Amino acid sequence: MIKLRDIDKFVDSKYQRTFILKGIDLDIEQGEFVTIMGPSGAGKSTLMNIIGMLDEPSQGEYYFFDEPIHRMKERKRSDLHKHHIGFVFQAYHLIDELTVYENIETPLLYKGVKSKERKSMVAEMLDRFQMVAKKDLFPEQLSGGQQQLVGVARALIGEPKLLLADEPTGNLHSDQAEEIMKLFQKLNSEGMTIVQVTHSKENAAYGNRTINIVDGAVEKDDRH
Amino acid sequence: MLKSYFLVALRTIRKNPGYAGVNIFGLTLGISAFLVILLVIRFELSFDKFHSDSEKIFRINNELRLSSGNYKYPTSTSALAPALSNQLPEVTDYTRMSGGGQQLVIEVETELYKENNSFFVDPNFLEFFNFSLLQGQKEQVLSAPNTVVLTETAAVRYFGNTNVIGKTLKVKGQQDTNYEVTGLLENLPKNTHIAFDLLFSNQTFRSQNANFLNSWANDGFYNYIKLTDEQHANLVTAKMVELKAANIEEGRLHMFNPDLIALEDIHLKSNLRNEISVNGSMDFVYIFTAVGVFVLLIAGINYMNLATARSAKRAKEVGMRKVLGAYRKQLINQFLGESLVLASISALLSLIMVYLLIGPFSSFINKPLSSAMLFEPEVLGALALIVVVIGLGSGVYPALFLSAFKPVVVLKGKLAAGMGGSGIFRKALVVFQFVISIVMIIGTVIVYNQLSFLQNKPLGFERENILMVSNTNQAITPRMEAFKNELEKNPSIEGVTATFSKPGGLRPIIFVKSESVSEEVDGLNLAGINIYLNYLDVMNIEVQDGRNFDPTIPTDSTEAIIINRRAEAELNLKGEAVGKFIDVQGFGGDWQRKQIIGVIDDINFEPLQRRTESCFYAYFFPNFQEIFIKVNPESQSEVVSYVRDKWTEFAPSQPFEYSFLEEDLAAHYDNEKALSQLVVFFAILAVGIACLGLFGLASYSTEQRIKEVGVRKVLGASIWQVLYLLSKDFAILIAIAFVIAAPVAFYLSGWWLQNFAFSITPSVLTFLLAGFVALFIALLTVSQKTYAAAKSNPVKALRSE
Repeated sequence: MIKLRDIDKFVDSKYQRTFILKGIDLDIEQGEFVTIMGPSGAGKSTLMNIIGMLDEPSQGEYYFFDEPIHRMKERKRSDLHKHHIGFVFQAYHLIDELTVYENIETPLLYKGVKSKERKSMVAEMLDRFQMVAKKDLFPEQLSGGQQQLVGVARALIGEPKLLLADEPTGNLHSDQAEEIMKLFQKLNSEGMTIVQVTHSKENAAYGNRTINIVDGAVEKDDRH
Repeated sequence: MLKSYFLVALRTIRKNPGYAGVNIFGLTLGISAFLVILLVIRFELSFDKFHSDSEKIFRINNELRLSSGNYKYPTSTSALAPALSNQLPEVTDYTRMSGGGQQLVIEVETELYKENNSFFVDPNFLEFFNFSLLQGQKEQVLSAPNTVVLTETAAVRYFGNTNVIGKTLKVKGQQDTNYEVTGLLENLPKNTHIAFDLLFSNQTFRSQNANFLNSWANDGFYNYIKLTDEQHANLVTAKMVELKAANIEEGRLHMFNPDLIALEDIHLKSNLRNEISVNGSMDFVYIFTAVGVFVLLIAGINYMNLATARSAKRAKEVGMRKVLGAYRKQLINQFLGESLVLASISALLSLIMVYLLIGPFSSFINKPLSSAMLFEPEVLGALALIVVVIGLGSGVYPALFLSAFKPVVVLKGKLAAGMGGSGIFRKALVVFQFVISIVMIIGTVIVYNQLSFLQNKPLGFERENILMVSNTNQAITPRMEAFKNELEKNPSIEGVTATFSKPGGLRPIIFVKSESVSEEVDGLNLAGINIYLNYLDVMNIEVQDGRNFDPTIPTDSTEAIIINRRAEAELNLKGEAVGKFIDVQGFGGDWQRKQIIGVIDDINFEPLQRRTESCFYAYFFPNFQEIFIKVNPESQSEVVSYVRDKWTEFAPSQPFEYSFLEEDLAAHYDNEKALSQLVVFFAILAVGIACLGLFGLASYSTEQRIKEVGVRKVLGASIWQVLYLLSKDFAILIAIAFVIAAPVAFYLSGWWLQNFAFSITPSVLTFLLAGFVALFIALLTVSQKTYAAAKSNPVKALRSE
């Protein structure tokens, strides 16, 4: 599903080139639940953003379902990511001006889904996450855990093939964190490919593969 | 999707009521001001366009080229238009008006009325122009002698109702003349320079003086001609030169230099002496177009500035939308859509605001504006255009700017402080706003100073406490001395005199001959002011050389004259005028020998837009239009009723009408007064709107620096130091604006002051003052925000990290 070959990401300043990622080779198959771990500044998030097509590698090749992403135009890439990838963020990143319902609906708007269909899809998602009663609330009226649930719902509504989660539980307390991780595990068991970045070993335990990154390079790649 | 944009836009407004309020309020004010000005200007430009073929109609003006200068009049001879019409097929029709400026006394059923606004016109007048006749046939109503057509207002004034056809009114004079009312006109539209209450048929003259309507000597006719095409104006001008050669006698050539002015230009571009009604001016239109556009610009810039400033706050939303799959184009549309929505809301509010305030405003500026004018398609079109231009103009920058972000960057929140280059752009816009504001402040001060200069400049004669009584139909003239003595019995009356020409009023041009001036000078003339002999005494006019008139010297009332300094120079008699003789042409064309007995200074007889003419004062013929009564100011009203009693005693059959000279003179500056009021009004508005924007910007930028302020305070900065830090940037902007504005304002005020023969010299102080006012207002505006920031608890600011 994902094939990274010799990926570099660097920042040039006046006198030196600082590598954030260097020589990453990585393959992820459909159905995997991958955890990326590593110390702060190791390049986890950057790798995640590159996989999610939010950022471009400075060098190297990236194939998504065998399509060469590194050669695509922005619009094509945008199309690809909106149809196949869902994102969950540490800080939820819900749109404050939109209600729960509208937040979940937004990706469908950009995909051009018809109104009627949209309605039923959002309704189904609200039902699945047991948030029907909260659909007209604004993000600031929800607890962190609830906001993250909305974030996950929003990520899933477009029926992505790949779910990317950047420290999804970083801002939550443990009860809420557990709830989210169980949800992820369930999604994975239903066939969703998930890549998450986390600091927590407990969270990593939910997945079936752990990749350790140190100083921009893969140090360890465990399947469990 | 649209619904989603709209919802977000509305919710954004609701979430930031301060920003949105400032934004919408400022823009609403700006659009309202622009709308009002648009209406005023459309009104000014609409004059006389409602007549059919209005673009093909011209009026013939005539210029007198005299030694004292050129005098252009809107009137010419009665034979001119008929001759053109006869000899040129391109001239399809003509019509004439005469008798303008005459005061008539009209009697209806023993009631006496004064009428200042009537004309004698050709029978085709109502066919030529499009004034709507309510009763009567327009081809017939004026075809017979002794017929008259009234407007509704006039009908009600004279007869109490509009059921007037067939009734008779009597014009009093040496011989009373009866006129039969044959037609009733709807009240005239306000946008015509041809203003009148009554139209008499000029066929009335045919029976009295057949030649009157076909004379090459009688100058008092407003001649209007209609051409087959406006291109033919040149042809007509050439023909008039031919007609001049053929018909004008040798000695009068310099008095006959006709040319054409288009009917549609008369209101704004003519402004001659003896116009039918007070004209507007193109300067006014220019100034207000500029003011309108600039006020709108200031408001638009505010809007743009605040929108960009605020856009940083929305970066996160943009980033998220991108992650969720928005194309760049969709984001651009969203931002443009939002600013269009805001602009539309403002436009709608403006419509409501102008609709509600148009009444009071139109009386404030004394223009007949109505709310119906708002809904004309051109006005609504302009409004829609404004919405689009401001909506797109202010939306396009944030739209392009924000949509270009890389979502990763934005989501990390790196953006907030880094609006980088846009800072300069915003600053430039603020500078631009304050350039306009400062120019307007300076303009206001200069217009105001000039106005008070006009109203207070010593004119060289007494203008206060002079009661003017109209000497209607010369009722008092034969018994002037007796009337004067009777009035002077009242201790509150300090003097009584009389004159044919009141200051600022019409005065005859009198041809003179003098041995000191060579025969070849064409049309050597002086303005002749016919006065009662004690005039200079009562009016406190000082005789500088020679002596004043002396009623005890019998020849003073027959052959003595007093001239002013300019006349002395024009007669080549500098310093030696007293005792010299000059010949003066009487109204019958006869030459009378007069001796100069004194010289006075160049007192300002005419309004100060014009320079003082060369003139003489003399008791020239027994005809006085005005009686001047110098009154003790403490007992004004009591004196008025005393004078009224005496008037009724001396002239029982004439109406009593009075005014005060000072007010009469001030009326010459009504245009300037209106201008100054409007400039003040809009300057305050412009500065207000600019400050609204500044306020918004200040709150944004202090918010941006709240952490810096926190750190500085922790490091020991005082409130004043922080205030200085936050205000300094704004002060620099105002200073830059001032440097740009000062020369612009200097140039513009010079341009405007050219309209006046006598004007103030704008002082450096005025400019500096305006600059400081702007600075003060600006700092006051931002101080509320900066002070709050400076006072804030640094711990709070830092904790948010």
